[in-house]
Amino acid sequence: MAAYPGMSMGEAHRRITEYLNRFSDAVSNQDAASLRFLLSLSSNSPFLLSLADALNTFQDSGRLIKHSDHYSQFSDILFNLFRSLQTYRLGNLFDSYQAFEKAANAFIQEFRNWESAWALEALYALAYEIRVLAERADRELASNGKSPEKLKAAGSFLMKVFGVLAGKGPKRVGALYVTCQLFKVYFKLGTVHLCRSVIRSIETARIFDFEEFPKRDKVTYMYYTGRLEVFNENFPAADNKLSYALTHCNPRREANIRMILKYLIPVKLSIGILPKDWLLEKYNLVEYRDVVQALRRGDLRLLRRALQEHEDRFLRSGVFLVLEKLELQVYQRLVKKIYIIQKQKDPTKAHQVKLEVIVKALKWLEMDMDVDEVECIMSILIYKNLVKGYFAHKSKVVVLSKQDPFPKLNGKPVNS
Amino acid sequence: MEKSYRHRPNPSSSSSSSSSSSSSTHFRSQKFRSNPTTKDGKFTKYNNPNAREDFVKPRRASQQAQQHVDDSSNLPVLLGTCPFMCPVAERTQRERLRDLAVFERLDGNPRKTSSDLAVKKVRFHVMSLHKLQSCTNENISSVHYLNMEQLTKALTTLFNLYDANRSSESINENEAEFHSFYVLLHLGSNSQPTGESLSLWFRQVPIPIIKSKEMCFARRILRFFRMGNYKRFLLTTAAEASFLQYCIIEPYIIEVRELALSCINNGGYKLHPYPLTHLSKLLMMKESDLVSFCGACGLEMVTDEVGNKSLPSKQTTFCSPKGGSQSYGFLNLEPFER
Repeated sequence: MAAYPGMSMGEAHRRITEYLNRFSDAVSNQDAASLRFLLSLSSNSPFLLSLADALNTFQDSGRLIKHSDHYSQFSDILFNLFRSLQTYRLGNLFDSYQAFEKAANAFIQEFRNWESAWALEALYALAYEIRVLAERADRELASNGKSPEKLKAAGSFLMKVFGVLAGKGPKRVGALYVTCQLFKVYFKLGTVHLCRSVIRSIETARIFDFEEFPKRDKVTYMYYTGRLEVFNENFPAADNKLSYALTHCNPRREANIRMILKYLIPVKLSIGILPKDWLLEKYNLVEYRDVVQALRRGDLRLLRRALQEHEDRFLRSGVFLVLEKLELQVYQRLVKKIYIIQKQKDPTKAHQVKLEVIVKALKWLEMDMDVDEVECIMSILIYKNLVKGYFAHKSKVVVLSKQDPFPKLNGKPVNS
Repeated sequence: MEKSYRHRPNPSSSSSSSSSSSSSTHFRSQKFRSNPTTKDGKFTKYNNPNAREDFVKPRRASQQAQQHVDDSSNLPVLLGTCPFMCPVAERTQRERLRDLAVFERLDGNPRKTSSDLAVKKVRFHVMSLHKLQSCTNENISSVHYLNMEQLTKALTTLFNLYDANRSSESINENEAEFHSFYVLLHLGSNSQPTGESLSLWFRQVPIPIIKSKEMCFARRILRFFRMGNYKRFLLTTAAEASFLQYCIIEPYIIEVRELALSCINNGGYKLHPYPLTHLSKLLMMKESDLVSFCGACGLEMVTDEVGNKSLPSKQTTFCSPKGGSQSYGFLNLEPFER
């Protein structure tokens, strides 16, 4: 990729100087929005791309930076930013990341000295860019057969930024945004356990008041921490957090709502709350349709089929084990249906369900279980309070309680 | 790697007697099958109890110490039995310091290891799991804890090695087996607050491994465990677990049997005590073992006029068995040859 062929040295010089002026003006005017734009490498804005071409044409931007006091004070930032932009334009993501990290470090030094929180929006852009560039650098490393390491480095840098923001001053409201960037890094790397220490800082440090943080960041935070609760099968907490994210998410951000629902639905199912079909349709979560149907019908075969069909997807998102555990609720529903049918035939005897009848019902569902296993399942359902009653081993019958034999979960997970 | 064991000649016969020493567990003299459809006889060496002689160096002498474990208040002694191992001075030092680290090194380079060595290490620790399980020494819990720690570390190292050396389609023949170990080690941990969540772990397991026979077995066991389906859990373990998988599952067998008793005690009809014969089939235990297990759980049996024992339900004295829970092995474990 050669430098822009049509650009003259004069033109290149002009573009570079324009950037330098814009940068120093943004700082002296405390104009975070402009500064943010100037840092957003991955946005591929025409302005930055042609600047990159200019840099590759002119080749001696260092001299230009030292030209004026206005911007020579930011020479570390600017020199490395330029290098990052140049290499980015040439498709060399590894070098681009390296240079950007240097620029970012230099920026942080300046940021520390600015007393007010005026530059937070620009800092957010920096945090975002460093993560995105690191991801791309790692992809480049991997494709060259080398081991990826830049995203991990970005994580370390972001922790440093977190430390800068974690103080008593007004800059602290930026900490949640950086936290969310860290979450994204750790989730991508699979080092999710590292989230614990930032979570602890956010939730227990006295300098932070959760309500002070920007709404957008709170939603993202609750989404990630909610997902962690799903991994740990802590359903009440997962329900709280993901529901918070859902309620406060911008309703026009349908992609984000979908992501939240992807995790909230298995949680809700686990506490006995079923989504309506239109919800699944609207947000394209049809992989859950058969699961929901299985719960409604007591159809064990359908549940197992649904899990098999979408096994890879459910395993990747980490909800497979949660969905598998719904089997107990499906059994409950199946026995309840048998009870309802028996009640229609003969209300006086309905509360006695022969194990053989359950075996037969399961056979119709192509599930091969003997009486012993059915008795085992029934004893578990009774133990976990999904069924009220007792089983008589000798007569091979389950005797259901006359009152409320199939207690609803009522928003609580099945007893473990 | 299996072959390298066979190249080593049997160490001195003095150590060969113990594997057939009396033990409290059934299965020691039983044979284990590999997971269904594995035809290559990977686990055949476990058919022959004596094949364990050349299995691991240095051998912990816990097998020999087994008979004396109640007499001695010391931990099992490390006894180096391999004649090729190292000079006498170093061997005694290793025995004294219980230092195995050098064996994990490839070409003596402390920074280099190989998956073969990691594999050996994992197998060793899994075997130790089993040995320690049947040890009733009161100091055993710290050793057990250390062993678990080492096993987890060894497994993680192994996985990292596999990941680093992964070529596009093929998986190492051991990978599926060792991934199944990881699942079985974490059977109870998905809802622990600090435990490594299995849901998280599954996310990064390559699909060919997930679909392997060993992993399918482990996932089924996981499902039965989490459901509380004690019947299938015990049946499937007895029918399909390899020896090493069994070693890892062993502590959960106790837990599952306890759950079964709890469920039956809780939900059984008071006027229909559960017959011992049926219970022993269900829990896959010898009747005499079951009687003592019920006793350990605070449950009493009743005997009828003709001497049949059964377990009445709704007993309020049920409790978790205390102290070194003994493993009772599996009743009627079928021979491997099928």
